[in-house]
Amino acid sequence: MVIGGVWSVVGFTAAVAPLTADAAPPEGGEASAPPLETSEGAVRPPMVRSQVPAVYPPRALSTGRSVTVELVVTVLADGRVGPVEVARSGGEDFDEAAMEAMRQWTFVPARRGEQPIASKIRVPFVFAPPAESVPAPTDTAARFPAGSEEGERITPPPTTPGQTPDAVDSTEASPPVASAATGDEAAPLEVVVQGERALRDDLRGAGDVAVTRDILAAAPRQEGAEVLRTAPGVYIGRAEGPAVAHNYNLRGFDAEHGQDIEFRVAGLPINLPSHIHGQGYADLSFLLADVVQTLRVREGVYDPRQGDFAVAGSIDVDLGVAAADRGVAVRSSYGAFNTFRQSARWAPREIGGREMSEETFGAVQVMRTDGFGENRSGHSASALLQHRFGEGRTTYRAVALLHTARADLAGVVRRDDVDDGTVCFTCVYPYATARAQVALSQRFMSGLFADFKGEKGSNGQFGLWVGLDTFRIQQNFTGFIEASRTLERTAGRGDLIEQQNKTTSVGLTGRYRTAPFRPAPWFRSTLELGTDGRIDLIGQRQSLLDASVRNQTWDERIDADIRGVDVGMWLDVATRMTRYVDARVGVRADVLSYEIDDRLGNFAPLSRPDDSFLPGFRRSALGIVAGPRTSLEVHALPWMSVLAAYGEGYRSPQARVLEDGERAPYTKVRSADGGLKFDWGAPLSLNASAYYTRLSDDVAFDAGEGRLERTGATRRLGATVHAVSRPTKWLVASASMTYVKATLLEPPPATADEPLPPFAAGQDLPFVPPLVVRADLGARHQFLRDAGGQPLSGRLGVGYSLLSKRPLPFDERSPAVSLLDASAGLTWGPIDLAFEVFNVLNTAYAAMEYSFASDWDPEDAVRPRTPARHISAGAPFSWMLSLEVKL
Amino acid sequence: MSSRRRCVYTLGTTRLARDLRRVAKGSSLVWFGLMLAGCLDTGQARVQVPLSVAGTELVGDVVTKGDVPLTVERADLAFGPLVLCPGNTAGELCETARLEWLDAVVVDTLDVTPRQVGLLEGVTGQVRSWMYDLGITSQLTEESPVPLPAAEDLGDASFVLEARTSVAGQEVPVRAFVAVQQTEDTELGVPVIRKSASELFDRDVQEGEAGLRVTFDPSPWIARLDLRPLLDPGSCAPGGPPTVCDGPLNQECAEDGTVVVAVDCSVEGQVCVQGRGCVDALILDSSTSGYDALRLALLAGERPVFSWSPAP
Repeated sequence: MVIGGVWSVVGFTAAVAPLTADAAPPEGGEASAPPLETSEGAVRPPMVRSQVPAVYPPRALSTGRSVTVELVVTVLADGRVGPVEVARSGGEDFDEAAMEAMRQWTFVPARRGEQPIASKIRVPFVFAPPAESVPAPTDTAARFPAGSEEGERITPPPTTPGQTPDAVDSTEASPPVASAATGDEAAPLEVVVQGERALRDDLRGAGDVAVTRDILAAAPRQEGAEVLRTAPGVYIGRAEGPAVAHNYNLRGFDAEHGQDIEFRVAGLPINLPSHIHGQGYADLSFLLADVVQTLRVREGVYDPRQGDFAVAGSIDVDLGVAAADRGVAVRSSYGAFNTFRQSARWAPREIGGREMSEETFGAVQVMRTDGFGENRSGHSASALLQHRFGEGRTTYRAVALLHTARADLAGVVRRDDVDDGTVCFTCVYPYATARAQVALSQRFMSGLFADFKGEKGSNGQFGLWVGLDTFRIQQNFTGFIEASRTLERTAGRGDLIEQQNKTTSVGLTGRYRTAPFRPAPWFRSTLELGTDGRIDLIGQRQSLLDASVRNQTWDERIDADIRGVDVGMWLDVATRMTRYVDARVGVRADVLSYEIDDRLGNFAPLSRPDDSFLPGFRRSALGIVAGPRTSLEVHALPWMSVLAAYGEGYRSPQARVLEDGERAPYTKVRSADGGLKFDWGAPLSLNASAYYTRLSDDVAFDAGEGRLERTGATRRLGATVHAVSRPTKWLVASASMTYVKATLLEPPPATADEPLPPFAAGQDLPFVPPLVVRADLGARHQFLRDAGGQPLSGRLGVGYSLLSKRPLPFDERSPAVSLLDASAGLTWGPIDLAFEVFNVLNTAYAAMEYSFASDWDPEDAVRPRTPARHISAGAPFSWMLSLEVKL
Repeated sequence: MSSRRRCVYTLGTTRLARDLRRVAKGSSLVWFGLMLAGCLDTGQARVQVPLSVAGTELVGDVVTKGDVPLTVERADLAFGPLVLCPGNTAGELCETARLEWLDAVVVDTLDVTPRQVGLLEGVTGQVRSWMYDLGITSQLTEESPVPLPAAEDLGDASFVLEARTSVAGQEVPVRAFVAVQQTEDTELGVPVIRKSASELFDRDVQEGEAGLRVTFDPSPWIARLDLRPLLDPGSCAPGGPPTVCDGPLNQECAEDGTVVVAVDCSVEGQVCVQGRGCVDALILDSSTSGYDALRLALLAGERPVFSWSPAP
C-alpha cells in the first residue's frame, strides 16, 4: 500500500541548528499533511515533532564524496522512533551517522482517524561534501561541538511531514510493526546533509588528536579528570589526594600540576600562573566524566591561539551532553574504602519549546571517601553549568563551574622505611607533623562567550571570564630537618609546610577570521586576528607549622602579593593550495608584566640582629615574547596526510623569583613536529609523529620547599603513535605509545643555597617516564530490543596504562607502573548499572616517587643527609558500583 | 588439507587477522620502547666508598707548652658521623650531602695501622667540604647532644688522653676526658667540626672510588696543653692560695704566707696538683684550662688528613 505525499527537502547550515523560518513547522511544532482515505478511515502520516541533524562523518571529509543513505524508519504510535533499518547503505560511517540522527527524532504519530498508529517511512539522507566556499580543511576524527568556533558541520532535517507511511493499526503497533516498507513509495522524505569543513582547524601538528565521547567512555574512570588518560602520551596520577591537582605527564614533560600543559575547559583557562604549589597549577578535579564530550589534544605549540603553559601542548575539554543522553539523570555510586558519590545532571531536550543544544546542561556531584590506607579521607563537591542560547549568526554560551574539596594527605614515606617495616606502604608516620597533612581547594569560574558566523565563512568569538581560586595545603616531605630562619635556635619542630594561594583572575578572548580570499580557483586563504589576556591578583604565603601545638607558626618563608598581566595577540593565515596542501602561518606575541610585593625579601637570617633595615623587596618586571606558529599539511592520498610544524611558545615564570627589571620573565619553548596521519575510516585511523622540544629553562620539584624550582635548559626528542579502531559497530579501541628522550642540557649552577643541585648536564630528566602506553577498549551491545518494554544492552570496558621506569634525582629510579582497569555495565531503559574495578592486578605502585634528604625519625641520634627514595602510594585494587536512573 | 590451507588463507586476510598482526607489531614496538626506556641516565651514580681511619705513631714525648714533655700512652678518639658536602662550606648549607657515614668508632690515634670502619654512602660528584662529630651528635629534635656508643665507650667523651709526665723526678699520670659537642654557640643540628672555607678539600668522587682514609695525629692537640699552672712548683705567699704544691709536697698556707702543714703526696704514691692537693693523677676536667685547650684543639686545631686512595 502506498500512500502518496511529499516531504520537503531541506538543507541548511546553522550554528545551533535552529529551524530556519522557511523550513520551520507551523505553530505548534507540527506540520500538516494531507490525509489519505482508506477503508478504515482517514490515515494521516506522521509528522516531525523534533529532529536532530545528522553529521557528515568527519573522517570522510577528505574523500569529498556524495553519499546517499536510505533508512526505513518505524514511527511508533507514541511518536518515538522504533527500529531503524538501512535500506540503502552509504558505508558504515554514513549509515551510522544517519541512524544516530534518526533515532533521536520524534514524531507526531500517524493517525487513523483520531487513533495514533505505528507507521513506517522511508527516509533518504544525502550527505554532500563540503562546499568549496568554506575555508581550511579539517583533518580530524572529531566532531566539534555545535556552535563552537570551528563551525557547524552539518545539518538539516526535514521540517514538515509528508512521507506516506505504511499504516498499521495502533492496536498492533506495539511492539513496532515489522511490515516492511515497499520500495514504491512516492517521493520519499529526503534529508540533505551538507558536509562542512572546520571554519578554523584547531589541530595542526601530527600528534594532534581529538578524542571523542565513545573512546572517553570506553574504559572506567575513577574521576572525571581521568578521561585525560585517553589522550596519547598523557598520564595523570593522584599523589596528593582529591583536594590537590593531579600530576600530569605529556610526551616527556613531567608537567607536575600543569606547568607544561595549557588546559581549557569549555573555553575557560584552568592553569593558574605563579601558583605557590607550582606554576600553571591546574586542578581538573571539578570535571565530571559524563559531561565531557571531546578532548582536543594539541601536542606541541603550533597554533597561535596557544598561550601560556602550552609547552608540551594544550588540552581543550569540550563539555556537553549528547542528544541520546539528554534528560535528567541521577547516579549513586558506592565503592571500596567507603567511597560514596552522588551525582545528577540535567540536560533538557527543550526548554519552552526551544530545542537545546548539546552544550546546554547542568551537573553536580558530591563525593566522600575514607581513602585507601591512613590519612586519606576526603570530601569534594563540584557543579558545572553551561547554556548555549541565542539565534542566528551570533549565539552565546554561558558557563560556570564551582568546586571545593578538602582531603587529608598521607604525604610521602621513605622507601627504606617501608622496606624495613618502619611504616607500611599506604601509611603515614606516627607524628603529628605527618598526620596534620591536609589540603583545601575552592574554585569558581564563569565565562560568557559570543560566537559569530558570517555569511561567507567569516567567523569569530568574543569572551569574558572571571575566576576565583583559593588553595591551602599542609604538607611535610622532609620530616624534621628544618630550622627557623626567623626565630633563633628554633628547629626540628616538624617540617609541616603550609602553603596558601589566592588568585583572582579576569580575562578576555577575542578573534576574527575573515571570509576566504580566493584570487585563483586553486587558492584560498583566510586571515585570523585574535587577542587574549588576563590579569591575576595573587596572594601567597608559605610558613612552617608545628602541628603538635595547634599549628603554631614557627617560621615564615614566603609572604608576597603578585599582580600579573598577560596580553597576547596573534595573526594566523590559513591557506589551501589545490586540494593537496594546507599551510598555516602565524605569529603570536605576549606581553608579560609583574609587580611583586615580597614582604620577606631581603631578610637575612645570618646577619641577626638585623636592626639596620626592614625586610621587604618590591620589584617589577616586563618582557615580550614572540614567536612563529606554522604548520604544513600535505594530503598526499585520500587516506594519508603528511604534516610538519614548527612553533615557539612560552611559559610564564614563578613571578616571585623574578629580579627587578628582568627583561625575559618567561621560559622560551621551541617545538618542531613531523609525522603522518592515516585514515582508513572506522576500522583504523593512525597518527605517527616525531617531535623535538627545547626549553630555555625548566623546573623540577624541590621537596625541601615543597614546590617547583628552576633547573636549566632541557630538550625532548620523542615519537608518538596513536591508533583508533572501530572495527565493528559495537567495539571501539584506542591505543597510544609515546617514547621520549628527555635530557637536561644545562644544569643550574651550584649556589651557596643549593650546593648540590641534583642535576648533571646530559642526564635524563628526573620524573619523566621515557615510555607511556595507554590502551582503551570498549564494547557495547544490545542484547534485547524489547525486554519488558525496554531495550537491554550491556557494555564492557578496559583501560590499561603503562609508565616505564622513571629516572629520579641522585641515581634513583622508580619502577615501571602498570595499571589495568575494567568495567561492565547493563542498561535497561532508563536504568543503568555499572560495576568498575580499578587496579585489577592490585599493583603496589607509587603514584609519585622522589629522591631527597629527609629525617623522619626524631628519636634518631644521627640525621641522614644523603638523598633517599620517597614514595606516595598509588591506589590499590578498588571497586565501584553505580546505579543511574534517567528520569 | 586444502581446506585447512584455505582456512589459513581466509584467516590471513580477515580484518581480525590484520588487526592481530597490527597488535603484534604494536607489541613489539612497546617492547622496543621498554628496552629503550630501561636505559636511564640519571647523571649521578650511587656509590659506597670504604672509609678507614688511622693514627700517627708518636716518636718520643709530646712537648707541651713550657717544654713539659708528655709521654702519651693512650689517645683514643670517638670519630663520626662524617659528612662530605658538595659546597665549599659545610654546616647548615649542607642540607643534602654527597657522602655520609652515619656511624662512630673509637680511633686509636697512636696506631698507624689503617682500619676500615665502614662505608661512606652517597652519590658521585664533587665534594668540597666535610664535617664530622666526635661521637656526640646533636639533633634538631633533641634538647641535648646525644653520645653515640663509641663515645659511651669512652665514658661519654670524645677524646681520652692518658699520658705521663715528670715533676721533680716523680712521674705524674695525666688523664683527660674531653667531650666535644654542640653548645649554645654552635649551629643547631649539624656536626660540630667543619672544614673552614680556606682549607683545601676537593675530590670528584667517581664510581669505583677505592677509599677515603682519615688520619689523625694527636700530638698537635696534646702539644697545646699547658700543664704548668697545675704542676709547676709553688710556695706559700701572703694573700696566696690556701694550698700549694711544691713538687710532691702539698703545703697548707697561712694567711701570712707561712707553711702550716706540708704533706708528701709521694708517700701514698700520689702526686700534688696545684689547687687540688694530693691526687692519684692529674685529671683534666672541664674546669681546667687544659681541658679547654684540648677541646679547642679538637674543634679548630690540627685537622686530620683526608687521603683518597687512587681509583683502581
